[in-house]
Amino acid sequence: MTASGPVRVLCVDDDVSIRVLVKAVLERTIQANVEVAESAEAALELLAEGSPPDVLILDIMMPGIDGYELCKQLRLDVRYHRVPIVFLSANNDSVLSRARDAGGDDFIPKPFAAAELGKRLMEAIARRREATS
Amino acid sequence: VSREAWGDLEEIMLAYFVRLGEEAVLLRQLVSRLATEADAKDELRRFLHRVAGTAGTYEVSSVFEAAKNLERTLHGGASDKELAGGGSALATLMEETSRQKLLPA
Repeated sequence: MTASGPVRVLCVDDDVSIRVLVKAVLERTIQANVEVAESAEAALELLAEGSPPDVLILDIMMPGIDGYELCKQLRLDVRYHRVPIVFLSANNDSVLSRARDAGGDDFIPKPFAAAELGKRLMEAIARRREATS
Repeated sequence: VSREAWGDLEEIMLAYFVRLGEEAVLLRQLVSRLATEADAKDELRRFLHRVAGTAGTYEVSSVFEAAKNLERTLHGGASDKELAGGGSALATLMEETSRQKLLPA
């Protein structure tokens, strides 16, 4: 929860099994309001329709625009300068440094422990707020 | 968190095991294209990466390990024949795992 209500999360992953699990886990562990998108392109359309979420979860390897590129695009938009972006990926090699280079805040490797996910997101939100306050 | 609150996670797990069986069919199709289509190997690489990540997250360690091993084989420059054999074995494992998990208790 944030001061203004439930944490709003957008999860972008091309694998439906991950999208439904992330949504279910975050709704239970941190009572988050979770939206999902199956691609970077779908995420950009969704984001254009409303206000930015409190945190974004991005898969890295997706068809079309990948997670790094989506992160870079979002960071060019002033509305997303303060939104934490957390990467979720099965590829552990050098991801964290590339994620940081792209403007990301954290990297959670797949497989991830369901109970850890909410905790890591809340930490990313807290860190970003502290850094920009 | 109460057991009730987590209740539908079981449905999510079952849906995953249904998809695992469907993905096995896709893997067999992909493997059959290796010898004739240049982009099939790259598609297989992305497919294995996704299957491993999801299987690991759902704690299906046998599929996770097998997909990771085949991913390493592919990165090591294996022949199409080796990849086809490994892909076929992985597809069988995925089908068997799916069937076992979906059997009525």
